[in-house]
Amino acid sequence: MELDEMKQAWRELGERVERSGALARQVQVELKLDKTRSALRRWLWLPATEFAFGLVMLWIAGFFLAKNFAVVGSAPGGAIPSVLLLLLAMATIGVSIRQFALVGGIDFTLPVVAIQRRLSAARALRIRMSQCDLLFGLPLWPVFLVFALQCAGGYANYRALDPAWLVWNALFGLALAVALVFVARRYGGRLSRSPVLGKLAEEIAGRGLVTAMGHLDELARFERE
Amino acid sequence: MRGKPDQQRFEALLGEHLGIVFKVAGVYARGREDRDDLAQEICAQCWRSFAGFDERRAKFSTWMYRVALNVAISHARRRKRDIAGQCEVLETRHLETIGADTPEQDDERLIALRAFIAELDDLNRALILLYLEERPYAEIADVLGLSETNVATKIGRIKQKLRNRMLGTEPGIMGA
Repeated sequence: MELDEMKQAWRELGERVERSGALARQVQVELKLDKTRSALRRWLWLPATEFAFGLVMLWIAGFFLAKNFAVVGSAPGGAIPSVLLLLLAMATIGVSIRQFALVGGIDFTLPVVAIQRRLSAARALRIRMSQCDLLFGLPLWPVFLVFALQCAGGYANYRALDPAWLVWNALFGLALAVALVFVARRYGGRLSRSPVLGKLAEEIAGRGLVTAMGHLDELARFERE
Repeated sequence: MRGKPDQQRFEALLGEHLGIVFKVAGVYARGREDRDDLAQEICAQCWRSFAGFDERRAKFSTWMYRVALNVAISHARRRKRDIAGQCEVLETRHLETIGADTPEQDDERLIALRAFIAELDDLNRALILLYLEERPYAEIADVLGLSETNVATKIGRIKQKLRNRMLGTEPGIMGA
């Protein structure tokens, strides 16, 4: 059958749809227009939370550094945790703003290729963000602990913990992150029965990123060829 | 905040073009329940975007195709992610929902049409849907964001692949 002949078959299907008035009524009855706006907000709550978290981190680390500015010169090692936190906060804010830019202003009335590219790019960014949270968060947890101790007991408290203990814990965090990636890649399929664990494993393993990047490639090919 | 006249105008336009919603939903949904969910999602997104609709810039149908296809492709991709790993190949179930609420039996052409669309990827499915709807190439290009030449080339290529498949020299047309 030729593609043009298929148009006839398609027309017949179209006529069936037209005759199927029950469906139309069902949709119109169920369409509660005033309640639809909230759905879009679901897209934005995660970057919004990250943005707020980044701001709080920025404020705490910035405030701490400003408060102890006079002693930083004499003991610069003590500023490492707050500077790291400051950098993380800035990165978090930057990425969440990028996510807002990609998804927040999304206009579904724009051409399909453009919108799908933005959605795939936003998804790729979201997955990278989740991976970075995990892969940096685990090895850096001793740094956060030191910062918490400094906030509670003063700038000099960074000496309260044995440096060797901190290094071992950072290495343990790193090993745990690597192990999680391994488990997600090796056993991710088994976890897919649970929607939450399956999605988490997919993101840690990087499969979600591969899919999102695959969609971007597919769009580029579709546009080019 | 939009008022009652806006909503009434939207509902009237939606009523006139509801066929688009169901055809797009039928092409991308898996099963009746999924189709109805997708149809709802498309209608809801159309309403959300309706404030930006300018009839001097585009016909309502063109505008609606854009919204519907964007929502449907996003829905299809999201669902693929959700079922990833469940090892269920559902591609051939596509289109079973279009016209499935009427008692008519499918003839060979409809079966072939269903099989044909089921083989296409999300983007080519949008292209062929608009082609089958007999939209001009300029409108297809406008909805998808491609050049007219690109649209013509793609359709020509799909036709050729389909012809080759009928002759038994082409296994499938997935990527087209």
